[in-house]
Amino acid sequence: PVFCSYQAETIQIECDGDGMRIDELEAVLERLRAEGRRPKFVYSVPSFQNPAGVTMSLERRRRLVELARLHELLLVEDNPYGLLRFGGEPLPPLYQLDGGDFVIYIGTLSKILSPGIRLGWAVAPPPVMEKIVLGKQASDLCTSTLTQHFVREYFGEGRWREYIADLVELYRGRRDVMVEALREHFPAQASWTEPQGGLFIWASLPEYIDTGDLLAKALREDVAFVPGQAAFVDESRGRNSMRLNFSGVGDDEIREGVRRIGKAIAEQVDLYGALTGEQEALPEAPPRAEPAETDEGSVLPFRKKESA
Amino acid sequence: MRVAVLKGGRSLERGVSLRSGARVEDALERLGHEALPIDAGGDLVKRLSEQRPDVVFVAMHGPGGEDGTVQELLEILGLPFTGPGVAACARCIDKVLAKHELRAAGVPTPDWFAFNETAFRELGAADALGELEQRLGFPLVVKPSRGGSALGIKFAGSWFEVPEALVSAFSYDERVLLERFVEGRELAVSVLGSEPLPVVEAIPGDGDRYDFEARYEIGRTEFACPADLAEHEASAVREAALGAYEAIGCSGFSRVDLILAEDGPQVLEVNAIPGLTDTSLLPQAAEAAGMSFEQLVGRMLDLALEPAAA
Repeated sequence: PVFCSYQAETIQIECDGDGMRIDELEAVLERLRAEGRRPKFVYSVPSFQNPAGVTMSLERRRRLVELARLHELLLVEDNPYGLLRFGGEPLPPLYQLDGGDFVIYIGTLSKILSPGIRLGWAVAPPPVMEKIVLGKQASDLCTSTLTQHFVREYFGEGRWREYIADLVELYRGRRDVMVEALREHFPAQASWTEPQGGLFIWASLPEYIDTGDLLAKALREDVAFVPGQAAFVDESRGRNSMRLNFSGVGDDEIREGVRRIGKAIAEQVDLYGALTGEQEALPEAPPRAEPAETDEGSVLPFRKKESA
Repeated sequence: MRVAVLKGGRSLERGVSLRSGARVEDALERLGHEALPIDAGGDLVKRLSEQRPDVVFVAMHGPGGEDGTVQELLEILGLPFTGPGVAACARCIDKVLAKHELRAAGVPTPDWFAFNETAFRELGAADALGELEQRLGFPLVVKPSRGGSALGIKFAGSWFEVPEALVSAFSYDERVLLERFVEGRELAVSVLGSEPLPVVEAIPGDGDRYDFEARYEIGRTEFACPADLAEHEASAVREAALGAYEAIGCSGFSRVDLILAEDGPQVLEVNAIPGLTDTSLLPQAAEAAGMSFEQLVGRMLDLALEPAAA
């Protein structure tokens, strides 16, 4: 969506538990080549991607870098969360795998020092960097030198690794609390990621739940989340998903927030069950009905605990 | 005159209200009045009591400002205010209540069923859904009874889309209506005092003709004012709109939304306090009638101060 505001034509590549589907990317690149079109770049958050929280596997990272070379294609590696890893082995950034020929690497202090600093960094092949500098100067002349001095002092003191280690501990704890709360309060039909780092969990609900509407219900209970639709360029997707952020609030608030969202979902599951459970009995059901819709198996269990 | 402009509030339409309010304040300044902007919050009554404006301009939308709540407070404080009174606001905000009033008054409105969530959870109302196909047919429109804009409005093309649409609509309100889908031109008639303003037509973009949700997306709909209607059509539309306005008991101003079907107009709903932003329909209609925004605001204040309107 950010690129769209610059009137870019974007193609979204599917993500699974191992990050971007490189086979799909290959197919898209082939199709574009056949059409005689050349993409400007491939954007990716390989580690703890926002919103899904998933991390691209080493194998896919290697393949992505190979593809970039093959097609002489720039990769934009956005890595705001890479240092916030709570578990598993750190994976090499695309920049490292590629050696820097085709990768523009972007980092930020927003997630490891403070978002208010508004400072980040980029590493890019020299001809690209020249253009970046031009564009940056055109948009803001220069970054505040005062904040740059602050940051230099901060890193000069050498305590930043310690601070990140503290953050990682904090976020790991909060992730655990949120996952535990999800297990307790979300219905059995829901699924979610258990990220090894970053700030977000991506939860998917039964298909008949529109999280945009669910949000209206949740807001009345003073709890919010980001509806999944916001993560897709194609607005028909992500409707039954949501992004949950576990970084910003304490353990008790996470538990209470998840409980309230879970209650709102349970009410919808319950209602849908009441609606579809009766549906079978209706004589008017049209014959073109898909069998799956009337199967016993598709009727959702009544949530006695929540309706009491 | 000292005119308090009530805006904001906590409804989902807060943003629109702030824009409506800001525009009204500008107009008031140009008219030589003193505008007292108030973002409606916990200190609303206190501020109104202290400032004692001559009249209150209510530029709030959605629950709180458009449902009679604020109007009730203004009546208690004895302050004259713009737009419809308590009872009319309460009827407008509740589409089911409004439709009953319309039908009772003989104003055409599409057939509907309304359900409370309790009816499904505890009384087995799902069994009654079978009547839908016979009585309303498909496609049909599922809407929360209360709620602004197009939030929670879904379009069910077949039987199997109904449960999902109901789940969405019940996210906004405990009462939901299922309404017969009427195909036709989408029109809005603003009424000022007891005079209907020129008809506005919403023309959905290409390919969206049957996509109900898409019509409400900004930029995908164009508006024509005055709408290109034959005289007999325009007069039927005006008559239906005025009938709706009177049936609901509106005063001051309101906007009536209708569909012009082949067999005549059908009223969908009445908006007690329609938007007054620079892209809103009521100001467009006033402009087509040769009224500037300042003149429109001036007329709204006059209507608020007329003894009959109080």
